[in-house]
Amino acid sequence: MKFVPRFSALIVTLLLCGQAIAHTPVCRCELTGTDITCTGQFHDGSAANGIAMTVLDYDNTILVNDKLDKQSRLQFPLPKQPFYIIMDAGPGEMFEVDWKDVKGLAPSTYP
Amino acid sequence: MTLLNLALLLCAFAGFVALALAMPKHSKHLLRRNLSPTAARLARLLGWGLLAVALSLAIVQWRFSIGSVTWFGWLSLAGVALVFALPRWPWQPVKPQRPARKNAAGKTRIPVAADPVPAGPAKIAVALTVIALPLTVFAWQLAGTGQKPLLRDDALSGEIGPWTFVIAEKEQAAPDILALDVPLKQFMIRFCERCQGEIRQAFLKVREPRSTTAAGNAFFGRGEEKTVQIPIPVAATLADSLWLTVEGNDGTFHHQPLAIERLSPSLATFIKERP
Repeated sequence: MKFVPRFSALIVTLLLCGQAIAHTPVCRCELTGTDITCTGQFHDGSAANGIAMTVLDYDNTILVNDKLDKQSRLQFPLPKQPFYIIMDAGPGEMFEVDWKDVKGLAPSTYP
Repeated sequence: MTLLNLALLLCAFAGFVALALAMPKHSKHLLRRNLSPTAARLARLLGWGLLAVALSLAIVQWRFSIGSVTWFGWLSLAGVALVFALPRWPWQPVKPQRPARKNAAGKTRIPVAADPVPAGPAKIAVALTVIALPLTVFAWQLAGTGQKPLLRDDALSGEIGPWTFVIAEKEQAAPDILALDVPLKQFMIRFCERCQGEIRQAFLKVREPRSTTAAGNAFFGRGEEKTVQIPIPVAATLADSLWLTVEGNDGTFHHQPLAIERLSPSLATFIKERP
């Protein structure tokens, strides 16, 4: 009689495995005083602590190379030049935040 | 689409009729005579040919995955239709009467005529249910099967580097808003059969990539159709476009902008109406 629950578990696993493949990183950044604070997650709401974060200027010079902390956050000082942030969750799974997407950062911040 | 489905059904039905004519039992039933061996062979060829034509039509329209299933569906209906039509054919073969046999006592045994028992309303209802149930389920499935995104009219065909592709939004709807209020939108792509062995990976993102390492999210998936889920940036505008990046096995990168309004009107509306 163990067959039925085992078989059901197999079917449920097979149905769910398609969902498990897609794991898109998501990130939001805002200006907090003179710093930028970013919070990362995966699209299913799970934590993204330890995920690599890179801040680059528009010439692709690395300004900050760090990881999301235990609270899935990253804080760094506001760069002097236009920048963008890459949250890199693995090959082909990334999230890009341009400085224009940062909450609280006025469009006139950079010329 | 309706015409194509009708054509499939008719082809399948005609194919089965031709196959039936190729069989001595059924040709005698339908034509009241046996076909010559040559004619029977021709009928058999025609029958299989018509079934093959139906399969080809279905594959051309829906590709093999959906096409073969649709073909099987129409084959089943055509087969059932023929099975139920044969007993209603104007001429029915006469069953040979067995000579009455004598029993041991030498008396002629009167054969008990199998008097057909008239079917009661309950039996008729059960029979009708048994027939109607699969038909209803099949019709419901057929009606509910959405067209594959890459076969829809809004799918965009293009060429990037030496490769051709078809791309489309997975669902014709505004992005899903999930964790951290980030809008996410799914797209699907298929490259030409030759290209698939030459392409390492394809990426999609809103805005032109600033480097090849930030080309966006990669298309993933088994089979030739790949899916990607991309975020829509807070400050994205329609002028930013969607950017497709394809990396060849030889390490070359090819980039191409795709107009958001063309590929996904629903996403364009979402971006325009966003506060």
